[in-house]
Amino acid sequence: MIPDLPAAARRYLELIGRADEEGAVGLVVSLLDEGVPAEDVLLRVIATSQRRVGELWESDEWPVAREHGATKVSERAVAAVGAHVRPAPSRGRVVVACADGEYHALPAHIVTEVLRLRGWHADFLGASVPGPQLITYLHREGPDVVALGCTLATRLPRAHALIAACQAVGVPVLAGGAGFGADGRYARLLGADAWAPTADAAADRLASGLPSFPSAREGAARVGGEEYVYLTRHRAELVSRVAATLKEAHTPEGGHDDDLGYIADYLIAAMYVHDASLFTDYVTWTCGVLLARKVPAEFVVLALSVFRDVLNDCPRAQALLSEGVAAAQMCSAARQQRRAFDAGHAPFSG
Amino acid sequence: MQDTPPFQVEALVPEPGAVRLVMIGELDYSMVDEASAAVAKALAEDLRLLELDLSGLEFVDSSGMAVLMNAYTGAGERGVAFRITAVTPYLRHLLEVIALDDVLDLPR
Amino acid sequence: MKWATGSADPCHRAVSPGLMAALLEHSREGVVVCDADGVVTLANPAAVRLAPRLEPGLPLPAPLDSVLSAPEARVVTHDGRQIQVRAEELGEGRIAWYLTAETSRRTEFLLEAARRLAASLNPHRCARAAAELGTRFLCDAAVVFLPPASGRRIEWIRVVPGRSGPDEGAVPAAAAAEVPGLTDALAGLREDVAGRQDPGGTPDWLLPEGFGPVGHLLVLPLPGNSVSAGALVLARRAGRPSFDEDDQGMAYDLATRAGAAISAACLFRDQSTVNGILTGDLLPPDLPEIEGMRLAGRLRASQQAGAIGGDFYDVYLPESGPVERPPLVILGDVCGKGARAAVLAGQVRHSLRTLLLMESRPERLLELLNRSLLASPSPHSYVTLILAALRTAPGGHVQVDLAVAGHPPPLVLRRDGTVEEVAVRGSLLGALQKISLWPATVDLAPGETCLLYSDGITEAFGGPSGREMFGEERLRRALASCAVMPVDALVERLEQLSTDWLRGGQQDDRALLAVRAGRGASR
Ligand code: B12
Repeated sequence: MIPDLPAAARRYLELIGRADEEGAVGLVVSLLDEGVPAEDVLLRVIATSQRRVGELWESDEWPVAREHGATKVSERAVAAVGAHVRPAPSRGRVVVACADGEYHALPAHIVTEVLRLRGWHADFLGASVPGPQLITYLHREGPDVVALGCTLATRLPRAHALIAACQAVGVPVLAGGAGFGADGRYARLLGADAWAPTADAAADRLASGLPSFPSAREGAARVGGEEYVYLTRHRAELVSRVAATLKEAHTPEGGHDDDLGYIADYLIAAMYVHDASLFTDYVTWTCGVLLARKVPAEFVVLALSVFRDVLNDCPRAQALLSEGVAAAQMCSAARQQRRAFDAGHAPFSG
Repeated sequence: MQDTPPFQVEALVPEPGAVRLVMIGELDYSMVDEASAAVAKALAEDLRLLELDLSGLEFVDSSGMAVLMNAYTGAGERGVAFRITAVTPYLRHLLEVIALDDVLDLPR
Repeated sequence: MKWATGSADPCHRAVSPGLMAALLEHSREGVVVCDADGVVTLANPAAVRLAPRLEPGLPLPAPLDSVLSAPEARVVTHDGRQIQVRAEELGEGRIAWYLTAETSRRTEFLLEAARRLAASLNPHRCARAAAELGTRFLCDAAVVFLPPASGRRIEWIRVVPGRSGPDEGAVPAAAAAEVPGLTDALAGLREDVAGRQDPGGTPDWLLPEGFGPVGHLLVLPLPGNSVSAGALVLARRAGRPSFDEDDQGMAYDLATRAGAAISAACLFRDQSTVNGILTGDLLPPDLPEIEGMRLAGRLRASQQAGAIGGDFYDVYLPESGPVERPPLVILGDVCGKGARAAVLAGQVRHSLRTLLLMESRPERLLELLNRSLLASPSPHSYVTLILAALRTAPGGHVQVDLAVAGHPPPLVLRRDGTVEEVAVRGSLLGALQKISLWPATVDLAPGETCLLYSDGITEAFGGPSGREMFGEERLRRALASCAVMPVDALVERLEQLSTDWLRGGQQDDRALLAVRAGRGASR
C-alpha cells in the first residue's frame, strides 16, 4: 500500500511542532522503509511542512521559538534521509551554497540531498558563505557547477556578487530559492546561467546539461544606481530617523523597530533589481504578518509615508514608497471591508 | 569616510635612558610589523625604562595585543623597567580581561 | 518590425528623433550615413569604434568608400582591422553603411583562450578548458595529460564533442608511452618539434569507442614553470584535412597558454594543501552527544587574505585511563594571524590532549599549558583560553567548572531570560611565569545555557556607522532574545546577528560554543 503522503505530512508537522526529534526522524525513516521515494519524503513531507510552519508563524499561531524548534528537527530529519539512502555518485560535481548573509540553510540542504539522490556528487557549504571562501573552494575542488541558494530577496545584491565571482573563475551558476523570484526573474537579471524553481527541477536542469563555462556576458547587468548606493550607505541613519519621527508622532500601535529595518532592506533590494513588485509584495506580506499580531496596516502606511518624507532627495525611492503606500492601503481597505462584512453577517452567524 | 587615523607610533625620550612609545590609532594585524619594529628599536638601545603611552590607541586586536606583550616580556628579559603611562578605558578593559592589569600596574 | 497601432503615421509617432538617436547610440552594428557628395553626415559610436577615422563632415575614408551598395557584405581592412561592410542606398543619393567587426578564427581563438584559461586555479578545470578549446577550434578529440600529483599514474581528461561531458581517467606511465611522442612531451622535451605524430600508432584506449580511425595526430608538451605541466594530444579523424601550418601555430599557442594556466593552478593547489593542513588544526570537531546536556558550536574563519586566525574550540570526552574526569570543552584564541597562529592553535589542542592523560583540574591544566607555552621554541606564543568541565548533577542540572585565561568570561542564559556574566578571570597564557586564576563553577538548571565566545563576536566592526563594535552589551541582549530556542538555533542566531552587524564588512574569526543543560529540545 502506498502511504498517504498528505497525511504523513500532517503527522510530521505535528511532531516537529512538539520538537519531537525522535518521532519525526522515526516517521521519516519508516516512510522510507515503506517504499516512499526519498525525494518525496524530502519534498512532499519535510519541505511542505516547513512552508506550513512559515504560515503558522505568519498567522501568529506558532511563536517564533516553536518555529525554530521545528526547523531544527527538520534539519535532523533531512540529514537522516541522506544517511538512510545515498546512492554512489555517478554524475558530475556540484557545490551547493547559500548567498552571503543568507541563513535559510534548510532549503539548500534539501536541494543538496535531492541532487545526491539523483547521482550528483553534491557538497553543501552551509548558510551564509562569504565570497572568498566559496572561490577558494572552487579553485581547490573544481566542481562543475555552483548551485546558489537565496531565500530572502534582500540578499540579492550579495548573491549577485557571488554569481559574478563564480563565473569569473569559470564555473557556471544554477540559482534557486524564493529570493530569486517565483519565476526566477532575478536569477536571469543577475546573470545566473540557469535557474530552477524547485529541488527536483534543479536536478532535471542539471541533467539536461549546463555549459562547462559561463557564457560571455555583454556588458554589466543593469542593477543598482546612485540612489541604491546612497540608501545602502545610509540605511542605519534612515531607519533611526524614521523610528524617531514615528515616535514623535506617537503612533499608538507601532510595529517593532526591526520591521522598519526590514522595510529599508526590501526597499534597497527593489532599487537594486529595479522592480517595484519586489517591494510591494513584501509590503502586502508584512501587512498580513502585522495584522495577525494586531498591528493595523495603517502602521505600515504611516511608516512608509515617513520613509518617503525623509527621502526627499531620492525620487526613485519615493516612487517605490508611494507604490508601497498604495499596497498597504489596499490591505487596510480589504481588512475594513471584511470587518464590515463580518459585522453585517454577525447576527446570522449567531 | 575613514576618519580614524591609521596606526602611528612615535618614540620620545622623556629623560636619558628612557624611551616612551606613543601609539595612536588602530593596532591590528596589518600594523603589527610597524609597532614591533618600534619596540625592537627602543629595546636595542641602552635603556633603563620603557614606557608606553596608549591613550590614543583606539583598537587593538589579538596580534596587536601580542606586540604589547612582547614589549613587556622583552623589557623583562633585558632588565628594563616597563610602564604603561596612559590607557583608554577600552584598553584597560582588555587588559583586565587578560588579567594583566595588576601585573602592569596601570595608571589610575 | 512592429509599430504601435492606432496612429495615422505610426513611424513618426513611434520613432521620435530622441528615440532614433538612442537606438543608434546603443546599436552594436556600426551605422554610417553619407550625403550625395560622399560626406559623412552621421556615424554612430559603434561605427567610430570600428573605423576611428570616420568623422561627420569629412568624406568617407577609404576603403569604405569603395564598397558599393549590395545585399551581401564585403570584408575590407581598415587600419589593420577586418571589417564587414554592407552598403544600402537610402534615396536622394544618400547611402548608409553597416559595419561589423570581422573576427578571424585566430582572434576568436585567442580571446576565448584568454577568457577560459585565465579563469580557474584548479588544474582539472584548466585541463578541461584546454581540451574544450582544442575541439572547438582544432580537432575532433583532445586529451590533456597531467603530470602525476602523487603516485605514479598519469591523469587524463578527454573531450570529444557529442559526448556528454568530458571523460577522465588515469594510466600508468607505461601505457602513456604507447602514445607516440607522449613520453617526450610529458618530460617537457621536444618543444622545438611541431608535434606531428604518426596516427597509426594511436593506442585504442586513447579515444572513445566508435571514434573511428585517427587520421592526424598532434602531441605537444605543456610548458610549465620550468617543469612540465603535462601534455596535449589533438586528433582528427581519417579523411579530415591534416593540421596545416596555421593549425600548428594555434595548437602551439594553446599548449603554451594551457601550460601556464595548469602550472599556476598546480602551484596554488600545493600551497592551499599546505594551508589546508595548517588550518585543519583549527577546524572545529563535530560536537558529540553527551548525556544530560546538548552542545552547539559555530566557528567562522576570518575572510582577510592570509589572515588565518587563531580561534578554536574542542571537546575532550572522558577516556579510560588513570585520571577520571568529566567531559571538557575548551574555546580559545591565539594572538596573531596567519600560519604561525594556526600552528600554535594546533599545538595548544594537542598539548591539552596529552596533559589530560595526567591531569583533570582546570586550573592545573592552565598552569601546565602556560609553562609549555613559555618553554616553546617559538617566542611570543600567547593564548587566551576557557576551560569548562561539564558535570551532570541531580535534577537534570549541569555543573560547569570554569577556568579562564585571558579570555572574555562566558555568559549564562537563565530560564527567565536574564543573562549573567560569570565572575571568572585569569591571566593570558604564554606571557607570565606565574599566572593568576580566579575560577568559578556555574550551576545550570535544565534549559539554561552557558555560552563561550571569542572576541571576534564582540569586536565585530559594523552597525549603523560601519565603525561601531558589536560589544558585550549587544551580545547579552541578543542572547536574552534566544531564551526558549533550541541550543543550536541559539548559536546560529547569534552568528547571524553578528554577520548582519558586519553588513558584509571585514570579519575576524568568530567562535561560539554553547552548553545547554538537559536534553529537551527547548523547554
Ligand atoms: C525556517 C525559516 C527560518 C530559519 C532558517 C533556519 C535554517 N536552518 O534554514 C531562520 C530562523 C534562521 C529564519 C530567519 C529569518 N527568516 Co525565515 N523562514 C523560515 C521558513 C519558516 C521555512 C524555510 C524552509 O525551510 N522552507 C522549506 C523549503 C524547502 O522551501 P522553499 O524555500 O520553497 O524551497 C524550494 C525552492 O525554493 C527551491 N530552492 C530553495 N533553495 C534553493 C537553492 C538552490 C540552489 C536551488 C536550485 C533551489 C532552491 O527548492 C526547494 C525545494 O523544492 C520560511 C517559510 C517558507 N515559506 O519557506 C521563513 C521565511 C523564508 N523567513 C522569512 C524571514 C523574513 C526571515 C527573517 C528575515 C526574520 C524573520 N522575521 O523570521 C530571518 C532572516 C535570516 C537571514 N538573515 O537569513 C520570510 C521571508 C519573507 C519574504 N517575503 O521575503 C519567510 C517566508 C517567513 C515565513 N513565512 O515564516 N527563517
